[in-house]
Amino acid sequence: MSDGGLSIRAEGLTKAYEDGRIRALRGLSIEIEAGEFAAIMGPSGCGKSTLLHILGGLDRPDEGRLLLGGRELADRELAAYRSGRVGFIFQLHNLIPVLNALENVQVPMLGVGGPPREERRSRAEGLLEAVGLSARLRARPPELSGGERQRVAVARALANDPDLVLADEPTGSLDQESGARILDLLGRLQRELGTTLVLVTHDERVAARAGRVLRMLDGRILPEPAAGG
Amino acid sequence: MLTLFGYALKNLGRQKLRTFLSALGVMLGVWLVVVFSAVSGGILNTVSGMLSQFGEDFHCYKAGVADQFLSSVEESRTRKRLRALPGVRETASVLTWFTRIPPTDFVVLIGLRPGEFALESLLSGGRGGFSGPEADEAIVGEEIARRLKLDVGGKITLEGVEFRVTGTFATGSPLFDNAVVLPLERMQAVFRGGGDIANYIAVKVARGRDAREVARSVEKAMPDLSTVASLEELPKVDQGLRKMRMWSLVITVTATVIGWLFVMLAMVMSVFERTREVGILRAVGWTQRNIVLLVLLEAVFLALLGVAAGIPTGLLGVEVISRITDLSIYIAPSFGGAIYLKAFLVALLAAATGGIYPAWRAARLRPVEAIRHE
Repeated sequence: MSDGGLSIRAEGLTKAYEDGRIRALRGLSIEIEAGEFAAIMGPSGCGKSTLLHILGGLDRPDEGRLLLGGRELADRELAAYRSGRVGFIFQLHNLIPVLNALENVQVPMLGVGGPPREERRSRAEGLLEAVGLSARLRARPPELSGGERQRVAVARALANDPDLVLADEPTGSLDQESGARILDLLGRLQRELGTTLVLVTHDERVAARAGRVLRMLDGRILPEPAAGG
Repeated sequence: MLTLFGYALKNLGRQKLRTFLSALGVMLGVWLVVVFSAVSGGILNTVSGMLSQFGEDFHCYKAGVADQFLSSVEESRTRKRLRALPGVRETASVLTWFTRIPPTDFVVLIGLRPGEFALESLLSGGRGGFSGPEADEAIVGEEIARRLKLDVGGKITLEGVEFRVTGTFATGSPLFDNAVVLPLERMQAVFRGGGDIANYIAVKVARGRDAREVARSVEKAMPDLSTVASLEELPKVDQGLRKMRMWSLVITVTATVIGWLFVMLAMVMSVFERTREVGILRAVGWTQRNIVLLVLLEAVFLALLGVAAGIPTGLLGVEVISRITDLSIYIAPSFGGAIYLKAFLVALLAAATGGIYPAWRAARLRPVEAIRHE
């Protein structure tokens, strides 16, 4: 598994859409230590998902500097970064409906240059066992409950042994019990593996599980309250 | 166990009807290639066989004709001049004509002179012969004899003249085995209004002489003649082969375009429907190359489905066409390995060209926009 987390340092990130009419990020700066569990909170449209996409190498900032693990990544390095260092968990599980749980978890490892078949399979089985789904390996997404699907998504996010896990409202579509199980799982993985975990949420109870809560408003991170304040 | 191949196959299974219809498009292209190639290959084999049916080395036609069957040479004078040339060992006159014997659409009549090597060669695979050069006698190929229930001693009426069957022969060539051979002089008189003519003169060269070299010297000494020793030289006196090759190209291109169109439409729709999924694949680390590979694999599998269905239905199509058009009476469709290779390559080309645009489109999707796609 992961040797440890990935540090994040962003300075003055800006991102605008629709010819500048929508300014999602407005000079955002943030610093997250390797192995830290940070929750990002904020109202809808404040730029949380945009930030997550930029941190995950799915998008590029218009301006600013982003250091991941102490270095800036070039465009050509993004696919390798997403493949080798980042795991994404979406609000809606986004599993591939024609593939069963075991196959969905193998998807990130598939393709040219990935691990051999047997390794892919045993790794996927191990991850599904870790998320408590060893009895549901052959079930396809339509046959799984919402909580089970999200657990498969967690296993998929961990498939390539990431240093950074980015979760965009991972419990947003789940009932309280299922959501709690997912958060327990993520918290355990972060503690045991030292993975950096950045989680976007609207829910104060979810954010309370994080070691640090960052609040966003209008494309910026609000100053954190002083310790003990 | 999941592999890229397995994933591509499962993607094709999502929209079974669309996959079926797309494969049907490729199948249509493969079908066209198989049917046309089998028929045209059979024609080539027949024509090629005609050039050496009597054991000759080359044919001499009237120079400048557009169709070998329209060639007309003054036979006695031409043969006399040919025999005087060094390297020419033996000559035989051949006159052809087409007529109708119900219920067949047409029958090839061949006029050969008794005592010449052409007739002797034909009768080496048969029995009987002519009593004289102008007798009302016919020697029939075994296939037409079977179809018209003819045998030695029977009668056959050709354009109002009755001929007695005095022999049969078998060559293995459908065209010849469905032909009727008549004495040359009688045929000239009945079907060409008399006259000292033949379609061509078949030539055997002397032992140890190079046939092409002798043929070249014939053309040099007798510029009113064109010599043909092989299929490649046939366009000198017949444009049919060139036209057939042109049609072969047209059919191949048409088949590829049909396959390309079906594959491309199917893959464009498939990629559009899976825009969000492509975004997810990019988000979990798939490279553009992997996306291209996945889409192209799906296109290739579509093509293979088309090949798997197109080849057997093509073979069936040739059989049906042969039966309903009497094609098999004149040619034996050719089912050589080259046909299957050509059909496979056409389908593969259709898949590659049809899949490349959707694959490129999918790979070019920006992950973050693809993920937001509804």
